[in-house]
Amino acid sequence: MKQRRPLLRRFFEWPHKVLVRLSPEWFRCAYGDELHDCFSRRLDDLRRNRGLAAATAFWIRGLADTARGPLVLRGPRRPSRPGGRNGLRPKGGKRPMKDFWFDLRFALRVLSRTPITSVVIVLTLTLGIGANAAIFSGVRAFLLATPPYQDGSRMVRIFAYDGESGRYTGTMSYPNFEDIRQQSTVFQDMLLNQMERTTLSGDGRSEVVYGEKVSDNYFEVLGIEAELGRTFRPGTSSGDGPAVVLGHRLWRDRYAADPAILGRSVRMWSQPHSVIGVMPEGFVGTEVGLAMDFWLPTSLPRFDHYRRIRRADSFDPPLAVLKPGVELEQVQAELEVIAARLREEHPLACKDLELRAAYARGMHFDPSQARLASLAGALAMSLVGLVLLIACANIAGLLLARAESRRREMSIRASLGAGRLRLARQLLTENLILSLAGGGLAALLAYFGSEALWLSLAPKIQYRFALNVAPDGQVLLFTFLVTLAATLVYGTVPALRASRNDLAGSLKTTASESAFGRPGRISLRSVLVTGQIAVSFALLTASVLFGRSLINVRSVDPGFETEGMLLASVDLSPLDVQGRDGSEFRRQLRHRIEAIPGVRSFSYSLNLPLDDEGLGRSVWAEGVHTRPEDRVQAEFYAVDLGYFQTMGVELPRGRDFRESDDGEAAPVAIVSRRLAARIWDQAEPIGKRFSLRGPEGPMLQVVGIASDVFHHSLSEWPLGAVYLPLAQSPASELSLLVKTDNDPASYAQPLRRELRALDADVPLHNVRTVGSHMSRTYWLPEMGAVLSAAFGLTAVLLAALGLYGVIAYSVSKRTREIALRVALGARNRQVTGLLARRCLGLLAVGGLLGLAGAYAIMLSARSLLHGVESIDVATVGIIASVFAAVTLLACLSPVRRALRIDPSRALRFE
Amino acid sequence: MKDPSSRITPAAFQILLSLADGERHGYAIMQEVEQRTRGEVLLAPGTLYRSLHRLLEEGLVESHHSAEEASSADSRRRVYRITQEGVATARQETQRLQRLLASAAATSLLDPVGTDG
Repeated sequence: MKQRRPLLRRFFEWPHKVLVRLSPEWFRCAYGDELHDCFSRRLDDLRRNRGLAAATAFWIRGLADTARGPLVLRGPRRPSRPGGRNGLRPKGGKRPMKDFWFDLRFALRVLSRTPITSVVIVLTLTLGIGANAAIFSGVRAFLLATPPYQDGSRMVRIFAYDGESGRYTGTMSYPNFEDIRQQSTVFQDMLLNQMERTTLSGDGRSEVVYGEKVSDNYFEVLGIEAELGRTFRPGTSSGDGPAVVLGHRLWRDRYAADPAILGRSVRMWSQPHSVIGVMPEGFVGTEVGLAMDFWLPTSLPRFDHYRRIRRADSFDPPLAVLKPGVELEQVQAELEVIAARLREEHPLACKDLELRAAYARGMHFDPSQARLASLAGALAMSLVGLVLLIACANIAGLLLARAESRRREMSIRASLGAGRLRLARQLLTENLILSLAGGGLAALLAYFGSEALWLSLAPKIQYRFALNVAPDGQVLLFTFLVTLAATLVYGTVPALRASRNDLAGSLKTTASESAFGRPGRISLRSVLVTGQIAVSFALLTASVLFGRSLINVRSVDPGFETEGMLLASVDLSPLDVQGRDGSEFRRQLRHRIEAIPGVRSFSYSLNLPLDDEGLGRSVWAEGVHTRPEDRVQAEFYAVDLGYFQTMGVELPRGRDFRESDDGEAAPVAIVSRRLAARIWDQAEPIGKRFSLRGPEGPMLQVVGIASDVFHHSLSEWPLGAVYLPLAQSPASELSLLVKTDNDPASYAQPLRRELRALDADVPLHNVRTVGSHMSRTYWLPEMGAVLSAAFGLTAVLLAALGLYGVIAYSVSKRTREIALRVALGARNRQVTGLLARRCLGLLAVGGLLGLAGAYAIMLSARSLLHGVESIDVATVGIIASVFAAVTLLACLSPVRRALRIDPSRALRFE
Repeated sequence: MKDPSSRITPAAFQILLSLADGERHGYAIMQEVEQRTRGEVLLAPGTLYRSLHRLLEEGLVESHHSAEEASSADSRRRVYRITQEGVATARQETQRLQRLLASAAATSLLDPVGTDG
């Protein structure tokens, strides 16, 4: 990260340096250094004081201005040019550098003679390389990136399959981790981590921060040292008392990067923890996309229950480093042996346990989702490839056209004695300039575009989102090389082939040849344009499909109110320290909030539907589940009075919780309709009893039935839910639910004010509307829609440029023919029709091929598309009309040029 | 443009104006022009040095290596200074512009309310 800036700056300054070198020698010697110095200082100045936009504008203007130099400068001491304007220097003189600069100057002049084609080629390159690099960088960061640690390429994640939920859970229990670590022989070492949230206090300010509890070898396995102080040491940390390592951002922002932080005590969960180290900038933990602010060892007494008591899944899948030479198959074989042993030793907790390893790449998805994720990645990459293909085809088309139109020039130069090598070098130089200009702009687009693109796409989660999506040299280089190759091959080869032709032949043929090849023959250019139309048609259709999928997902009823509701989280644990009663505090806060004008209803809840974390609990129904292993899973909620009314969840049967359902009264519960049906089938559920702590545990009586809501995602089959009154199941980390009459976001301030008036130590965090609460749920379909739309539009733009190029070229090649037709009495309509037939023919063939492509995309992406089973007529109609409009635009100016052809002048022209 | 002694380009004129108060190096000229015109005139480096070259050729500006900076890393920087001819030319151009402005003011163009009716 630290090396990037200067390197990037050098990269941006480099084109200017080249342009300065292109200036006439006398000018360059006299002013070159000063001129470049001036340019780079100005660029630096603007970037620092006025931002990137101003710097970019200057960059473009400055480059263009300096580029004018070689064209306009008329110096008195200019050396006589070696070979006249056309580079037809007599053979024998060996001045390679002089020739090179001459080539460059000449190339610039040639390119500026056909400004539109040159600009179109540069733009195509910019879009092709830039958009690709930006999108690919993100896809790589999300799905393909190796963990950025010393052994990153040999790190695997270990996933556990859980019989009870019937799927790979994406979690791991601490005891199982310890057993695997001790019994395995294929790993150098492995680490464990799990996100933790706490309220950080102790210096008059409270804030909620996210960090991780990690196995004490965590930093050792990753091979990362603290920037300040030290990290935990394996085996020794348990004796140190509560020790915490802080992240760089927290240290910088909250503690003003104070080096005296070491040894200081900070309060977490209202307990003093002493800071033993600060991690270097850039280290934010091992979770891709999330930035952690602190690390605690799992050996703290606070986490005892995770380590010893429960063999339940509670940690992220562990990261393990393979021993040198070990293959994934060996790992899998050994994990199967270990899993079998664990199933035998812990028949209850590890029933059906299976273990599976996969290389750690990008975000960790549990294997069931990993297939989906890699499908999404593969799809995105194929789309990237297709766009790149269009860009290459586009450039090829334009350069072919240009090469053809210069056959005469090449023939003349060849016949006057220019060597083929000399001509090739000239063409090479021209194309190189185009590639470099496009590449420079593309680098800018990719560098600034990718961050903007991916930040806007990032899920609206409560944690800090961090992802390094800046394209690195590799990404840029790869895309750049592909396009460079296309430019050079397509631009140089045809022209060279032309130069081999005999002079008389090529002088005769040029004028009359049609742009689409001779009649009855399909030219390479038509094939290229048809291909472009097909690919962009397919991409655009795909983006409409993803858009429809998004609409479908959005229209799913989550089972609760989504309008006019403000949500916030609060951590009441500081009250325990003050010796105050949480329930009294809750009652006072409720009074204050309900008194805010416009608040219609209010409630507290532990756990919310569609939250980032859920709370799963096992349920043993009386008389149904008599053994510990017989049970059903349900989502757990502890809710205060008014919850169902506030959330808009109906209670079709039974009653709501009452004030009298308090700690003294008999324990009661409300269950969701689906859970009741799963346990008691058709029987009357009201009055039935169940336990949450084993078949012999304390019983709760069902007093009501609630309608179903989605707990984790809108595509799940809801498990069913258990609701307990908050008074009987106290919790300190609560959500506040405020139902309001008007814009809920405007209630955030009053809410904070009321809470602060009661107690300044209790922080309010994660304040959000239900809309933003649910955006996480829509994230994937939204990203699919936005990405495919971005690809689709890029492709259409490129295809339009290509179409324009072909039609414009066609008009210029057929000037004589059109003039003849006009002279013989053809009307405007007939001339237009002539060109339109060509356009529409290309469009029809390309469109049909594109439709087939779109169908293939739909089939392969079916599991990503929500409720989209077919490509409907409306979709095709919309896209066809978009293409018709684009074709019309692309053809407009060439056709107008054709109509303006003056027969008498045009026929004299050749 | 055809007769360089009597007419100078706007960029060259701006450079002469910025050197009127004392000598400057290239980058300082760029900054001064921008500040004085409140950002209305922005000289790109290429234009700046091409114009400076012409002014040097025509003897309106002269240059030398700055003594104070000669030893520093910036020794490549030259300092530009306006000559007597330069002052005269800038003055001439200013008078020409004044005359132009006066003749424009004599028309109804600059009246606050249009008088054609």
